[in-house]
Amino acid sequence: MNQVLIENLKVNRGCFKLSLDRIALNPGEVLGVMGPSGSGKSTLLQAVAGFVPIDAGSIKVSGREVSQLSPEKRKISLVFQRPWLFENQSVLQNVAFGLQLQGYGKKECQKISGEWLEKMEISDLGSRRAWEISGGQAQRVALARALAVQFPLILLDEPFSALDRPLKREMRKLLKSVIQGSGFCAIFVGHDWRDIEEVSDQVLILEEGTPVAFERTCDLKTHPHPLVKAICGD
Amino acid sequence: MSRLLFFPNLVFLVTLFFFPIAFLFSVGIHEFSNSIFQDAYLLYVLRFTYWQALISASLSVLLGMFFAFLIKEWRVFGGAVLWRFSLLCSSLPSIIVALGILGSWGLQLNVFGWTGILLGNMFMNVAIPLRLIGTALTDRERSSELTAQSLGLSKFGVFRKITWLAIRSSVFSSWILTFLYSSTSLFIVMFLGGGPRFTNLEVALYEAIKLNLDNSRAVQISLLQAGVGAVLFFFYLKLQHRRKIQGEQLVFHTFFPKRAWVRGLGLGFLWCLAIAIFVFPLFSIISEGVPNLAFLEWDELWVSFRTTLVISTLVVFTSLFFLYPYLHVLHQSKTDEEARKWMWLVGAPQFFSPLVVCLALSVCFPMVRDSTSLSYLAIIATQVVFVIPVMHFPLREGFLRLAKERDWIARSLGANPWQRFFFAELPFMRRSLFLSALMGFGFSMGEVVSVLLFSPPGIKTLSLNIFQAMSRYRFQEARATTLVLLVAMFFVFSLVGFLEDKDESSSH
Amino acid sequence: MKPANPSELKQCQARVEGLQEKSQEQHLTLWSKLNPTLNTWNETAQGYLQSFEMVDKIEKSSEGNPESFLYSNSLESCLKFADEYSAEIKKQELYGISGFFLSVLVLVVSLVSLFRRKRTPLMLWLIFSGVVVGSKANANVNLTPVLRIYTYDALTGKNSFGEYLSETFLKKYGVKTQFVSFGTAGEALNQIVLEGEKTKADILMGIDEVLFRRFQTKGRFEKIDASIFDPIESGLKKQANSFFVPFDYGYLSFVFDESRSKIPKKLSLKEIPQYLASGKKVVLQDPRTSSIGLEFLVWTFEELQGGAKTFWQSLAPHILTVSPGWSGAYELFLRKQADLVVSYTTSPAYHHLREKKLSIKPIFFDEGHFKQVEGMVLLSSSKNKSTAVNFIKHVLGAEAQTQLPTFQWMYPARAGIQLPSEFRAILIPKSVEVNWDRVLSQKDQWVRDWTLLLSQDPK
Repeated sequence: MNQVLIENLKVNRGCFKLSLDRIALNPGEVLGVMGPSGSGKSTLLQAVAGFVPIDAGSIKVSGREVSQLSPEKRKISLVFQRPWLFENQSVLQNVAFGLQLQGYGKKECQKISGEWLEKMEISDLGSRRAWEISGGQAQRVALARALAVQFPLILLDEPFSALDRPLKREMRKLLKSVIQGSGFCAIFVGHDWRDIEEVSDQVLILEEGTPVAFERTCDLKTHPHPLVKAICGD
Repeated sequence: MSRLLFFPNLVFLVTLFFFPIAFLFSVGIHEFSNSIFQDAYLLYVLRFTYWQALISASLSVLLGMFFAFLIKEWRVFGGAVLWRFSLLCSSLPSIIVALGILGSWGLQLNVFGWTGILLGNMFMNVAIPLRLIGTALTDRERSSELTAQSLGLSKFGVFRKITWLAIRSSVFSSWILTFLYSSTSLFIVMFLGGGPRFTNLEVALYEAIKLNLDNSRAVQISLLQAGVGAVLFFFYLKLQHRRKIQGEQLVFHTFFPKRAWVRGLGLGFLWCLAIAIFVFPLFSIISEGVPNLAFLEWDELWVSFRTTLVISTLVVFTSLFFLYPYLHVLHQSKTDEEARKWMWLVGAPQFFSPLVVCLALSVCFPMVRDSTSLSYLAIIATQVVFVIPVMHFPLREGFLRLAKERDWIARSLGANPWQRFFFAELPFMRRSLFLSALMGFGFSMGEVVSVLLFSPPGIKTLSLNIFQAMSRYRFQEARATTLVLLVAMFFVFSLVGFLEDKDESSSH
Repeated sequence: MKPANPSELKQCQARVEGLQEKSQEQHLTLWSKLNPTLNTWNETAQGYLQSFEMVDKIEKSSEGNPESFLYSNSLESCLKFADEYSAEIKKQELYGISGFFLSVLVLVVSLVSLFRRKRTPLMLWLIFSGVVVGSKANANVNLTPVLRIYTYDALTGKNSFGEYLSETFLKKYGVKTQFVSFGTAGEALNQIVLEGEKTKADILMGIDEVLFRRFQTKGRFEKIDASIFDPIESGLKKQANSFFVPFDYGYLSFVFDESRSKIPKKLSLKEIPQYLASGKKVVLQDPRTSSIGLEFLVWTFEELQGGAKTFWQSLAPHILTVSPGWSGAYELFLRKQADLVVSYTTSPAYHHLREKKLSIKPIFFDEGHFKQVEGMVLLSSSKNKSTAVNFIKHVLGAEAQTQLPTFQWMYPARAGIQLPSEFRAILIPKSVEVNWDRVLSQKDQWVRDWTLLLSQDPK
């Protein structure tokens, strides 16, 4: 059974229209979304997350129809380009935030958060405040926060754009291994082909709200789409 | 739930402002003619009112911008003091300010006329551009400035092409607010003007209400004032748009001068201006008050002080209770365009003279004087009506700076509205809340019209003490009580300034 | 019935009076309910005590003495009344304390509901607390008829003449008065005009003649019995008519400080600009916003007639500033920034009495001074007319009028009042004749002329 199934999605925002036929993801799969600016990548993420209303279509996560649910009930976590941590809380508390909301006890929250910080290789930062850590570290915390709740679907909107190249490499590997190991699905929006190539299993290319290509990453690698060349260069 | 949050402010303003104003106008106006536009004297007054406000606002904004730059970018010595206490000056009763200016500059030169009016308006209004522009400077995106400089652009070029774009809405917003306040100042213009050559519309309004009892004329003048206020507010709203500005983790001061002599010159210039405009008149108030402390009745003073603090605290909390959820809902659920339309409700009391607002409430709800509790409620409600427009400006600025992404993340993790408020909103609204509460508190401490109109027998505030003492020959007591009010405001503003600094340092 | 003695009755009386004072401050509803009973009982007990004192026979009574039974009766009633009164006050206090704890409980539960994110209990508690607060707010509503007096702000507040009148009127008639203050009497009158027939004001106090004459034809004022005016000075009876009851008056003049300025012995109003030409400054009140300013303007036009414009033109260069009201102008004068200020001939009495400062003096003009008369009017819409008339009588009473000078720093309207020595040291000038019809018809034009004259650049 598909963990994530998006069918006949239509979103109208003024003069911009997003239209998708079908996206299906199995557990552990990552969909990379690429396209020029204004192609609808962020709109797609916001529609799936529930922050933009859809005009038609169905969004199923773990067999559950979520398109009419509020964002709090969809069990879809988010990571943005900037970490957007809760500044009045420590790193550990940031990671534990979602766990507490899901009803986990205090000790369990601390244990799970600690584990995720270890996976992100920042276990020594647990007691630090959000403003005391670097941008790269904060982005790891944001990722840990989104992953710790173990929702079936994670949406990532250019999460590595603000990082330097070595850090990006690290984060790509980390993300891929974590998602594969955990069985979550993810939709990853990016501009960098290297990010998409390493992290995603499938790639969706959008142009002006319409998919122009939807293929497995390995196929696109051997036969690159002209639009990908245009966005990313050779 | 969000609708429930939305309506209290609407209901409050409709019941305690729009309805009484409409009631007053319907009772007061008997014939509506265009006679005020045929009155040559009134046309002269109209021209002077807005010409004086234009010059006052422009000077105040220039000065405020200069101070903001030196305090926030150059980090001059003593800048934090000026930052903290500028609002104190704008909260003092205007008659005190006028007497302070006369007691300081008035002894050195002839301040009557334009000099006095501009000094008085700057004293009272510089805090607004200083605060709004200063906050915009703190919160602006700096990486693009750094990039531009590294590419060879000069500091002036950086300012013109990058920084100005980030702060210009704050500059124009503060100009509009300062213009509004300058156009409605009564004591500053009358007392420091030196004669009827310097007369503004507020004086004409007072004349109509107090002496001529010509309510038709008063209503027409009010509508004229409100019309101008509405036009300005329209432009103010146009300047408000969501900004993607957040505090940088690494603070870089683009315009910090490298040469020590330049810094020294700036510091000297700043303090010369600050002393001339703020310190000198404040010193006069203090020096007039200290020798007269023996005339104070301390037990009465303590009661007045306590009453002032209680009323001001209640006014601030009540205002925030109504205003904050309203702005929260506008920010969360309405588009920018729609939010701007709703902002008219909050801004409208600003367009009318306090005398007219108080008169409207007094005429519409005379039954409030039947009980002590209702009288207190009336005082608090009246002050809240005045204070809401003042408090909404910094709050709105705060909301415009809030990142929706953080709220989305909290929502996606399952947070309900209260949790999103506590974790994703409140920590980032603290600075705006402080500033808003500060402005409201200061304004309320110096407010006397509402206490005068609605107070039950025996209730006294510090400002009312001053006015009543002055009207009964007890000038020494009035001067001493002014000093006490100043000291009380000083402590309040110091405390909140301390909390503000703590919050700012923790967020960086 | 056990025999009693006068000291026991006196003690009981004192106890009841103490309870009365306490309930007046904190339990107004209770006080208003019990006060009529108290007054009746008090008068009866007082009668008994007085009869004993009259015969100068305070001795232990025996059971056989009929007066002692009456006396014992009185003591028994007193003790019973005091016990009941005391019990009622304790009950009220208990309600108060319970209310307080209930409010605290409501607040705590609301906060807990808030933090535990329980919406329904939070709403219920907020509604409940609103009801509790609302009912508490109404608890202090005064049930006795209250006489409402609209006036200007100097007559209200602590240590004011209004406070004195309130206290003494309450003691004498048992009726509370509420002084509602506005910035000026003009604003107070405007409030009445705007409130219309539904106004709760019974009396307008502190209105001057200019305002009164402008509005007497509107039919809002009630005619007052002629006998009320009997105690008033004959000189004021001309100003008084059946509607306007003067209660104090003063003469406008310039006030100066002898230690800084020397004034020629003979000076007339029109010579003031010449005196000021020696580098002196005067501070005035704006006739557009101040009643004293308007009256000074009226004085100049009435006195000088065609020469008024010349007067103002020559005075203009010497005007330091024009203040919105009296207090700002006087403050500038006291700060030595102006040499002369327009005020009252009686202003120096304040400095003499309170500050022991004799150098502040008024200027006297041989041709006379403008007499400002302040009065009271009874509103035709008042529902407490008889009480209001009692109040007017009280204000004109000898006691109040004797106290008036050292509150208002004006002359009392009642004839034959012994003035304080500081007032007696001030000459009472001649008053200028005023043609009120001309004043009413020309006032607005005079203000316009003044405004235009002073708007020109004095240089």
